[in-house]
Amino acid sequence: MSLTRRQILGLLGLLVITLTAGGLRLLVYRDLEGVLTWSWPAPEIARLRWTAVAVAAIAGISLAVSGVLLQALLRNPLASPFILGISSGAALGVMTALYVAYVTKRSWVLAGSDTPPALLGAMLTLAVVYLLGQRRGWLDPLSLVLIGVVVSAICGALIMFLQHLVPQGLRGDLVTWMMGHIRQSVGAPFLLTAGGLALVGTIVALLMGRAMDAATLGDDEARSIGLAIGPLRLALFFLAGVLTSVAVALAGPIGFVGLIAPHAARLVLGPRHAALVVGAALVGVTLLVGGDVVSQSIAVSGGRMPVGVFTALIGGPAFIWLLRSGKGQV
Amino acid sequence: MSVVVRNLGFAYARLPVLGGIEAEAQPGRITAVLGPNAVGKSTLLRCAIGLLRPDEGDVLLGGKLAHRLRARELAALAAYVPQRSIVSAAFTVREVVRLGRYAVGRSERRVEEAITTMELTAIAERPYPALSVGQQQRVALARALAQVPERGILILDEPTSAMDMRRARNCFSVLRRLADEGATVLMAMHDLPAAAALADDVWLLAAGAPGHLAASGPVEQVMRGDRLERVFGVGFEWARRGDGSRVLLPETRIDASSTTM
Amino acid sequence: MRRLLLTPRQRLVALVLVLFAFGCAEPAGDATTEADEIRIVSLSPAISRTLLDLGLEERIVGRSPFCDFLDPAIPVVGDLHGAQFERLIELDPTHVLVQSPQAGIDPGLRELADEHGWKLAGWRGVNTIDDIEAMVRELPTVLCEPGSDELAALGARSAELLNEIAAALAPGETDDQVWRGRTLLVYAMSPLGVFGRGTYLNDVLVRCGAGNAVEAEGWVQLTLEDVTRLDPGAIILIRPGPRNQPAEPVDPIDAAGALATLDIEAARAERIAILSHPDALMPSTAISEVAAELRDVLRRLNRPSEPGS
Repeated sequence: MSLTRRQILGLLGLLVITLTAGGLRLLVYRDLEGVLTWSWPAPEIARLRWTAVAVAAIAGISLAVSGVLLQALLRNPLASPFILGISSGAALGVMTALYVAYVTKRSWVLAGSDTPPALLGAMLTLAVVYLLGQRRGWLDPLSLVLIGVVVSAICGALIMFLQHLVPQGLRGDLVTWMMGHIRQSVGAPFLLTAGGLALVGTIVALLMGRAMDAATLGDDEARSIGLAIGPLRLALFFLAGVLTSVAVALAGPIGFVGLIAPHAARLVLGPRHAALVVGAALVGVTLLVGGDVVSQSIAVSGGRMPVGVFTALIGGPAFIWLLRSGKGQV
Repeated sequence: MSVVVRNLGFAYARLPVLGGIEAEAQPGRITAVLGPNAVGKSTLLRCAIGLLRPDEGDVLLGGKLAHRLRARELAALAAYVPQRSIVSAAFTVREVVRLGRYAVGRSERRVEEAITTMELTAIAERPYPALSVGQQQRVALARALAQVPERGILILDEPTSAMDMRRARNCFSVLRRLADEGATVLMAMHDLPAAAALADDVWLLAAGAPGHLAASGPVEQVMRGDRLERVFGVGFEWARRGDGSRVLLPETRIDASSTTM
Repeated sequence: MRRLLLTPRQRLVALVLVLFAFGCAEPAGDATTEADEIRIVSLSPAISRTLLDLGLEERIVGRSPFCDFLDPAIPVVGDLHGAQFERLIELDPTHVLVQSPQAGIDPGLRELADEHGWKLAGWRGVNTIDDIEAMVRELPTVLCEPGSDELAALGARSAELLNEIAAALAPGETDDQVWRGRTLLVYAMSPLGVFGRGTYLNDVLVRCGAGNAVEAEGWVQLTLEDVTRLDPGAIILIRPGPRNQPAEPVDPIDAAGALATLDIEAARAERIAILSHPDALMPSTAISEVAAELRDVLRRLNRPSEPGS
């Protein structure tokens, strides 16, 4: 891959910003009285902060790369990891688990016990959207978006139905989950698996960079220049799906990272997908680790600002600015 | 390499579009595909390049079944330019032209040649979406030029429809040169006088259910005034110019009563 | 002039519609209940629980789906986020009791209550023991006419309940045997939620002689780092256990998950316990039972710390 000077500078710039965000997260702490402190923490606390950085980085990379893949798959700049209904499916998984816990009188959400149902819900949704999103035997972008939206709506309705059946306290659990949460403690096997998937996913995405470039042409032209568009779509779909599922299972459905990271990277690096994958991954890490820094430093009643709220508050206006300024080209 | 269409039939969701097409486009010749709107010209071209799978019959590209070709094999045989080339990314002109080399090996020389040939040097760094439609058509053609192998097949769907006269003539002369060098050029066109001036052979499609081949063969045999009037509902006549060359001319001035059929 | 033309099928439909309309218009019969008998719809489990303890279960004609401790024959009407108005009209209660959300009582419900002459009463933000006691104290006057015999009887029962709560919270003779250190009361794990000051369980904890590890007010969210810095001596996981059956035994260390792996005194000394009570997360008169339970847990936690054991 040949990089232009601008791309090299852009990637270096993004890397510096990403490392700064990570450094801040390791140093900053606001205690319950609201006093901000900066210091290198004691080992037992450093362990927690490193975990938070790792979780945020893995989720950020997964969401951002998945966003790049989906925007290429659907040829739609508005595509985000959640357009396929994956987050709704994961939420339905978590809600179902809460409901089952409630009716079987085990209404206690154990630490980390929302991960398997989230993963299961995400993967099941992915399978459903895949089966329904085909035309003439291949995945069709328009069908995928429509099916994703409808599956999302159906999951939403089922979530509301189940919410209706459980008491107030448990409803709150789902709402908190929906906001996204960067955990400070995750089982090592899961963290390693998620990290490994994010890394492999990014490398595979990088290798598919030229194919994604070619796929920006219409289907007929893409095929005529030698791109096997059907298999490419299948690969993009499943890679994006798995990455999103990992991110959602790890940190909840944190919005806007998967939408805004590819656009921000495109602004700096241009439209070529190989550079875009790396750039978006860096922006994704910056957004989530940085978001966690902000979330740790801003007090809201009874706790800290949920990181999902931060990413949406930053990502939403940033996206509108991109749209209005005309800089957010695909 | 020739394009051989054998008893081709195609239907979109049971709506018959083409039926019983038998024709051949030969190397070293430019074959124009003519016919009124919605007669199935684009469908025929998409079948020809293996993008659509025929319901009946088949198409041979250089002796191989078109719809059975893998994308890479296809790219090494033939290049294709659709009516409107969409690029859903802000690639520069040069980057789009480079996409032509996607499956056939990098060659900056071919890319630069194509850019020069299509007079795109001045706008080579401009983003594709910011170009006018005519400019975009030249980029698409350049992309196909960068891709098409020597003595390969070029399948073009009205590649000059939005170009000004001079650019269109420039494109035609480029295609002529390629054909002279042994390429097979198969091109849908609407401009009958231009087709008459450029093409060696013509496939004339006539409307019907399904659309069918009214005639095929060398230009002067196929493009007879009475036949064109039957197919297009517009009268044409051949005229001889001062230098002795023959040109196809449409009916005289258009007035309000020119509406036919 | 337009004429009304109907096909035979339309006529049939029209006939059915007319008959149906008459059927609906027919009066459903006068309310058979005695005028002075109170009929309560409770849309909050906490209020229902208190009504139950006041001996008023027979007077409850409608409940929320979460009042699972009441007679299941009592129809479900809705909860504080939405009552089924048709069901309410059918039941025609004298009182509708709600624990209103922060946004206040649904204006539609208020209107309906005015229209039908139901007495609508709500308690907002029942958080502390004082709040619970106020609710117990106020309920009789909300439900009964001033000066009525019923008010006197209910007032007496209410006073009894208040005494029970006071007794449950009073220092017991075995209080020297309870854990008195800084304790974390955990109600949610991910993210971590704990009871801060100004909550009923904090009040219970403090009155039992222990201290809350958290200084902040209300239901507080913590990170694991916060917990590490707070370094609580004990952790109690509050769990709304099953009703009418013993809680399944769970290893508290397992249940505590990441908390048990932190470098804190509670984890080192394995001073982690589970408080399992069906109404533990509901600020109601059940607080006296929960208090007894908590005292029990604190007694169990009070053992010399044996690091590494």
